[in-house]
Amino acid sequence: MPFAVIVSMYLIIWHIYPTAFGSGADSISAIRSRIGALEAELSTIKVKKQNVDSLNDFLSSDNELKDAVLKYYSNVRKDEDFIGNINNIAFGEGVYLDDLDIEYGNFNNKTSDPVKLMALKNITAVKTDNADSDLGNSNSLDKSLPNAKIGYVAAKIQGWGDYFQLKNFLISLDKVGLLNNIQSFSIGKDADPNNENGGLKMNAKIGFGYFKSSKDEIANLLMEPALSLNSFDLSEIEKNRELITGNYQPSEVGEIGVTNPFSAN
Amino acid sequence: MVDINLHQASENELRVVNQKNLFKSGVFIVLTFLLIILGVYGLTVYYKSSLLGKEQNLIAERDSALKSFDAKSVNDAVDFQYRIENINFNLDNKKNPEDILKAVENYLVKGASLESLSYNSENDKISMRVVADSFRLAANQILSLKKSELFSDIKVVDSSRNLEGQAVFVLDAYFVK
Repeated sequence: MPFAVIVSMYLIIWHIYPTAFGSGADSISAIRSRIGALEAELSTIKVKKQNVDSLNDFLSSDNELKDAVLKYYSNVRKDEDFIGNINNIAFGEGVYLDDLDIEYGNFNNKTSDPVKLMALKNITAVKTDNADSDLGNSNSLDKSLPNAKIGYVAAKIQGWGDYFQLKNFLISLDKVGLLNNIQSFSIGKDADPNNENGGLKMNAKIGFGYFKSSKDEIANLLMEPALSLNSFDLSEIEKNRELITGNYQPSEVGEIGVTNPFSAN
Repeated sequence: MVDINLHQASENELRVVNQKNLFKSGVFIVLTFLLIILGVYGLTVYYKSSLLGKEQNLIAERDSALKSFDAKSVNDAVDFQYRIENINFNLDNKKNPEDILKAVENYLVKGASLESLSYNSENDKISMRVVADSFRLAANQILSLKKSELFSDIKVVDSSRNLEGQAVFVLDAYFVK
């Protein structure tokens, strides 16, 4: 009889009570709570999967605004477009360009501010709650330095013209139809008496932005706000369609192939 | 002898008494209690193991759902949304050169002219080298820029006279954020 009492007490104190009413990780309430969280997570994942499918259906469809967005803020660096369009605008506005240098830049979170230089938002590292998942990878470069995804090419230009030519050149450059920011410009009378260009001298530095495509792990992307959307909001893009299309002209290769590379053909 | 009870209990009567004693005995109660406890314990173990099984199934289902995502599709969607937001941000936040030049044209005082003008987006300021007949016009120019309410601060960086005796002054004007 004492044995039966001891066994009963042992079962109640060490097994039944902690399992049924305890708060430890092995208790029924803790397991039920984990199950609730898993069910909610699974439900969210399913919704996000549907959203991703819906967003990708749009991305693979024919849509003018989508193409305008991809052209305006390209995911490849288009040096040829930057140079070609600067030249076209200068030619159109009667500005003589006598220097055009290109600088390649990108942002990290410590040394430069995309808001000031390119009028682009800082990319915020999205906190993931799946860091312990075997799909997670918290060491990716893009996650630690999200702004490294923003690339830009700065074109430093020197040119000549009268005030109205230079003014129109800068205005047209701003509406070139490629994501840009005029980082600095100066217009002034040239102090050099031997200057034969006449008019005013202009120096300008214009940054053209491009986006380095992400290659993040799924687990790092699940908390991205974009995955909560089932369609892209293009209403603002539609309003600015004219600016985004701009006076952009795509570059063309033209004729290629010469017999003497050192002779002008 | 008259008071002596010579009645002998029958076997049946004795069995009932024994049974009553068995049900009322401590051993029986304790064993019954133990059986109930064992039953509850068994139910608890069964319920817990079924919950753990459900949890494992959900984990497997979640991992499988995560693996059903195509990384490229997700990155493309996230990138495209980023592009839309940044195009809007860029158009809202970048300084239009037309606005900068208009501000100078509209608020340059009569009798003064520019020798040079520059703009820098990093500190969002313009620098003007202005030539005028007198320093009085320099004061007028500062006041004109202040009254425009386009600038948060205006500083005189330099002032002197040139070889022709004209007043030359350099102003830095910081746009309102």
